[in-house]
Amino acid sequence: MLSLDDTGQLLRRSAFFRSTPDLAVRALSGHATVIRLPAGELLFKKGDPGSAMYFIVDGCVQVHHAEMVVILLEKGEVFGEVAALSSETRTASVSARTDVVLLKLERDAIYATLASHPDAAQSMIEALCHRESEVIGEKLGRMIQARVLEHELEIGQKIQRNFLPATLPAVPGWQLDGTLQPARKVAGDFYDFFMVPKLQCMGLVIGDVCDKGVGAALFMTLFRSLIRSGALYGGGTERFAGDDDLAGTLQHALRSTNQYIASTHRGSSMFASVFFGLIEPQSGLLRYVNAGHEAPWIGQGDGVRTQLSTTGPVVGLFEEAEYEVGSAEVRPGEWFFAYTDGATDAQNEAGEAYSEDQLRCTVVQGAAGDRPLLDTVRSALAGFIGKTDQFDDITMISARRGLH
Amino acid sequence: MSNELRIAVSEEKGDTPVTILYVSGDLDSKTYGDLETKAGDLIAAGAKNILLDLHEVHFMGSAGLRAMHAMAGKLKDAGGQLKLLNPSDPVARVLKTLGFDKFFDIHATRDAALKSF
Repeated sequence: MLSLDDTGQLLRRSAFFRSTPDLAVRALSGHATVIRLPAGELLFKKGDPGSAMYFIVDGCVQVHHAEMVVILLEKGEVFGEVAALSSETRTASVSARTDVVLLKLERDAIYATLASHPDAAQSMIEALCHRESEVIGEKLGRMIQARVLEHELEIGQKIQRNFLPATLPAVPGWQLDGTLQPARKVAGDFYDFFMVPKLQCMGLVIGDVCDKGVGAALFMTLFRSLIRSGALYGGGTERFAGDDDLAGTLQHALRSTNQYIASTHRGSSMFASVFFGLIEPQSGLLRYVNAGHEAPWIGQGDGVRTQLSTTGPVVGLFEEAEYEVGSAEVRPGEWFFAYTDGATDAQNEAGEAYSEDQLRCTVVQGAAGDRPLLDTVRSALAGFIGKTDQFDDITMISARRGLH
Repeated sequence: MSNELRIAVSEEKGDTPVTILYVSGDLDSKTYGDLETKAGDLIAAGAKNILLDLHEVHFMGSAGLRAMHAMAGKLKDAGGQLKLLNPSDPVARVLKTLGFDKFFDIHATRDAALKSF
């Protein structure tokens, strides 16, 4: 047990009680109780009612919001004064970082001391104001920092938009459309439409880089660029020689992208699921590679006619991966639709997922309507999600073939 | 909410020692760090061959897959291997859809898995 004098000496060491008159410190120390807390133990959590403030005699505590540590406080520092001196609840959680010894001062004891030692009030108010000004200063600093970061992300967002096609190719007899709604400022999803002149084909790509936020966004730019570059400039034939060239181009683009990322970025274990298709606009022939992606659908008025399942593993992890090439046809009057799992995993306020079945119904119904298909699906999803935060990037592409 | 991840460890001493990790719960962006830390500690302590028992894992997110890929890479560098044991149906489906089944050695029984190292 600490003696009264020891306790007073300790309290005196904190900035909070430095200018408190001796008699008042002595009175306060008479009311202080010693508390020992083992490392890791929670003292109180944000929102708890509280009537005591604490002084750290030894050890270290962490002030935190859920898992995020806001600040570490050490020997000689005071915390918990807001709830102790007012009717506010605890403004943050506090746990022992190491084994700690604390002095606990109850509200009643503090106010009783202030009542009998009015001169102590001035020093305590000064200490509170000093702390308040520190907190305000720090808050402003953080706001400025957050603004700078926000600005950086906005720049990132603008640059990233340039990695999506600004305009879609005009292909006679076809209507193309694509949409990407990021869950955060920047996205890990991507889509692409581009013509491959040497094959007289249009390329369509949709992909989902694992994870979200900035890391995924950086890799999204890499995946998208390597695939397009592999398809347009890499290793293919100069003249259109036949169907095999489509398959060769698809395989080359996927294989080289995969090998590059799996070997160069091996340590990061980043990967993407990718669907890459090449459509011959005249015939409606579609050759594709589905690298671990949700199966796109081809359908007519009354439903989905076929789905294009995976033909190989996700891109970026396994250097030896091989990609088979699938074959399908988009017939006159039919539509092709592909999406990322942000659409099927989208949650409503009750926490239920939109689901593949519901998406399929919406797409089939939407395709029969007059509005552009993706507009219909987008509004259906927005209605479903309601006011909840969007959980993941939502990306969709469609290609509709006219009747003639 | 994800289910908390629990990991139990046992050592099989034989001609080729194998460390078995019995994992249960959801392996997702909130929990993959626990698996990475546990595997990192074991590898640092000399484990070369790890068998990951997945029959009590009912959800596998991309973060879990990345953690497995990273583990496999570390073990390969150390001259060992990561193998998988008896994944639950939902996990087996994810492994197949994303093509992990072609690059990971997956066994249905513990004995067969241990013999294969």
